[in-house]
Amino acid sequence: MFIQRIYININMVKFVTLFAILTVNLFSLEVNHSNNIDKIISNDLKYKKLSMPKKSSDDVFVRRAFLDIVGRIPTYEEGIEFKKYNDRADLVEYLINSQGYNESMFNFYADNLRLKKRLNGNVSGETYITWVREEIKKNTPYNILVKDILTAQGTIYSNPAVGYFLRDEGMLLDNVSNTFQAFAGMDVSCAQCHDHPFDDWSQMEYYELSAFFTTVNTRSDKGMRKEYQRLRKEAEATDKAKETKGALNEIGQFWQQGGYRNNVDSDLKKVLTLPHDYKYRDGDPGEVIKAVTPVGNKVRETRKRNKLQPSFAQWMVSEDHPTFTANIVNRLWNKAFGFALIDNLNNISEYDELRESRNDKLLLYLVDVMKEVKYDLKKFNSILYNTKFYGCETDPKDNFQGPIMRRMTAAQLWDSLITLYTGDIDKWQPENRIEKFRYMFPDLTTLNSTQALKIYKDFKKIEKDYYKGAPKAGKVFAIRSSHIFDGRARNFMLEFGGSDRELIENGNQEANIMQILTLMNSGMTNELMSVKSRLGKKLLDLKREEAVDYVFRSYIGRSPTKEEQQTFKGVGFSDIVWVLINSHEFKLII
Amino acid sequence: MVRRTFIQALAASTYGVKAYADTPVADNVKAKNIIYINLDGGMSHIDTFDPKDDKEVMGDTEKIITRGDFQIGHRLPKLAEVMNKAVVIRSTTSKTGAHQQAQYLSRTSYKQLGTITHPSLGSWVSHLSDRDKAIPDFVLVNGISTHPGSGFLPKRQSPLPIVDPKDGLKNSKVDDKLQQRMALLKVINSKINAPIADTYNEFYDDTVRFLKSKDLELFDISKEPSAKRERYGTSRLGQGLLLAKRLVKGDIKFIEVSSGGWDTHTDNFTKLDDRVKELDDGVSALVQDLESEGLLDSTLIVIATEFGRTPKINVNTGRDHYPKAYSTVLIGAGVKGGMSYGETDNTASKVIKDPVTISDINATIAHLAGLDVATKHASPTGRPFEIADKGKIITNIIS
Repeated sequence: MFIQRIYININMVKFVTLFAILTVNLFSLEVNHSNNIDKIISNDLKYKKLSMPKKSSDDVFVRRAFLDIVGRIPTYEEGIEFKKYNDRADLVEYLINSQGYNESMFNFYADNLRLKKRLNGNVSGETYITWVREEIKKNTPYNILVKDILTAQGTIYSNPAVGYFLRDEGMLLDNVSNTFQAFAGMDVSCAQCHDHPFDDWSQMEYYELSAFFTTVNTRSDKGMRKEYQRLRKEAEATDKAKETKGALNEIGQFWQQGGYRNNVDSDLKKVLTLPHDYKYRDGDPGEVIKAVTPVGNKVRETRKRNKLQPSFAQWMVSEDHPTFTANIVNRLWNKAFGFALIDNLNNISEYDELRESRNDKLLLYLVDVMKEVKYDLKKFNSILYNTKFYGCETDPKDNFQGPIMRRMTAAQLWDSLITLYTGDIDKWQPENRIEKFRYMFPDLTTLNSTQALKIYKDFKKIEKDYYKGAPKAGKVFAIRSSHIFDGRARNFMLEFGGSDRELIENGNQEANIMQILTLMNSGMTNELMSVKSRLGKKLLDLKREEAVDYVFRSYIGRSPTKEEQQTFKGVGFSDIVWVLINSHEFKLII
Repeated sequence: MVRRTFIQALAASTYGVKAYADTPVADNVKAKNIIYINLDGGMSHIDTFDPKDDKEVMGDTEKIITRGDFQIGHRLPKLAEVMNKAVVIRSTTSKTGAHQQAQYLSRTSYKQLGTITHPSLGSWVSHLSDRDKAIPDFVLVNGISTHPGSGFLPKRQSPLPIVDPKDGLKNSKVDDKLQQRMALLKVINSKINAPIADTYNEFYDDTVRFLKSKDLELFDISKEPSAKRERYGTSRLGQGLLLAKRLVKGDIKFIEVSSGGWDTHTDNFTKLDDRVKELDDGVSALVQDLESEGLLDSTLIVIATEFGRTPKINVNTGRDHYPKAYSTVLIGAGVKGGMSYGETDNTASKVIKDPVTISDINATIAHLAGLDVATKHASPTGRPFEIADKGKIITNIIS
């Protein structure tokens, strides 16, 4: 049947070949898992005397699969193409292996890791961002990715994964809390300052955990400060001689942005001590604390202090960690189905035990599946999206009868609007400039201040070029949410509840009046309403009813009913677009 | 009230916060509305509300008498006339001397952490007086992007942002086709039956009602006579305060108006000539306006800043950050007029009487707004927090 398809549409050749490779694996193991998940859910519903939900229509499925897997609505053409093949598993595999999946997963990681264009201490976060992007593209197993992050050392250019520590530079205790929340779904932050009021975490345990990271030094300059001071003096002299202006300041920037100042390395002599106001009997203020993991298999500090970080990372990602696997399972389930198995995502356990979930049997099964696929998130996602349960009609009431009906996330909404505007949202990609930056900044001892300033000038220029060639809609970049970190488009996303990335997964889908005013009146809405827009131009050659059909399918993924054709008779293009952008079927995931 | 139920359910399930149990008791509400003026950058207490005799400390700032029992800096001649309605707290003290952290602290009463965002005072007021209006009860004029907003409270308690008071509410123009489009929208939307669809139906109805209502005009300061606009001063602070007054008339509970440029590390005195004049013009016009319209008895005006500035004048004729002692001013509803509270030493560098923390000030404001500051509220992960982090109400200044 696959061969037949190749003849049907040459556009799909690429994915069919890929699909053929995956097929063997898929039918033996993964379909089996998808079926088992469905069985567990239907048994549970039976027990609760609830019915299994109905299969959704193909139109609804296609739109939802696009939104959940590649983060945007399908174009008219993509929707029609699927209708011809009508194989859901095919579509899921196609989407999971497309660039859109990487972009959608980037947003997932970006909210989890709080990715920003500027890290704390104002170091550029670009290489770290690029690194995360590349790891997703390579589909690096999740446990390995986390381990790489937690053991990273070097500069933001030699090893961009150090961006994780630099994000919380100078805030060791906050970084430890964030590590637990992001990768273990445990909220231990209370114990940072006092024993947890109603969980078992004690402040002592918090310090014992944090002690694993005491040796992490985020401000190492590899003994180059002398050289920096030499450059400063030189720059100061040229400033004073009025040869240049602001050279001293720019040398400071050069020092910072060049990765000379924020090396992450180990300072084996550093120790962690209890705070001056420590008030419990198990320790004294100022006492040196040795690293111990309180939950799971105990790992302790040994004499080899350079083992602290790796031993913690190993403990965190080990298969018998009480929450590590459940955490990622819960987050991915939430992304696909719109509700978490254990609510809240950032707090899934009480001390070392998982909280009660919406379906314990299912959760434990998924945890096993994740281990079996060896944390290959593409495989795991593929299993989730291939369940019959995923293909059901959404549940408006949150009874575990289908994915939940919900509003698009801010990123989905933005990416859908841009898809409507440009037609191909993934055409523009930023350049990977890790190598370029790495070789920009040579050994300080070889430089004089004039050379350093020249390098910094080049750096600034290159940094600004990030968006080179990116298309625009009016004043905003018409590109993926995953490439946007500031400016107007970012404000749009914040308005619709996009995460501020100050806290882990801090987004929301709540409604407010500003959002509605934006959908009604914003510049983006007006761009799309213009008859000169991409869609507007397409309609010129179409008959009236076909045109209405084209616009309906483009926006809400279905054809208008006969009555709707009647209702919209005589209504102009702009008004139809306004109505569709503001409709439930557009902003909701049905 | 489908939306109410929905939000209530959401609040209960997602936030674990009691959404309605803490509605303030009407009798306790002294300040029905609050205008919270935030001077970003750190206002020099010495040159404004806490002047001294020591010439070395004062630079070119001189003292003038007021209609209260205290003196203030000479750049505030108009405010001096209304100080009989104000209490000047001269003993605010904190330990946070960096802008962002200090601004966060003064808005939320909590230390900024990397693991949770605490709600700002405006969001607490809006949340706990939940009145189910189309527009939030918290408007932020000239706000900064790092504002903590609603923190862990439901996002609908986030402030409604007004970027520039002259432009009013963005995207709020009314198209003459609105009616027709809404009719078509109703037809197509009738296909979806779900609680979330009902929520959006209500939001759209509210929005349309709002766009057609007089409420929209509240945001349009061009409706004010030009003489009045000039009286407030043409600065963004002045125009923002005029907007705030209109919003108070529309019974918006909490309006925060920001003003930048107070970080006077260099040329403190020349810079203050402009900044303080804006403050003087704007606030004095606001007080007089509210009073003549009978609203000052129910409206509290707060002049707050993240820290004071060094008594020592630096080499650039500037003053640097100084959290150890600075001033906060409360005017109008619920406070005794014409008094100063607390005291600094004769160089304004140390609090020597009745020290108050930011928490104490925020607790006092919340109390005047009728909120119970002792109640504990749970964050989404179940951690307990108070509105003003154990702040004590400054009872001596309450009328």
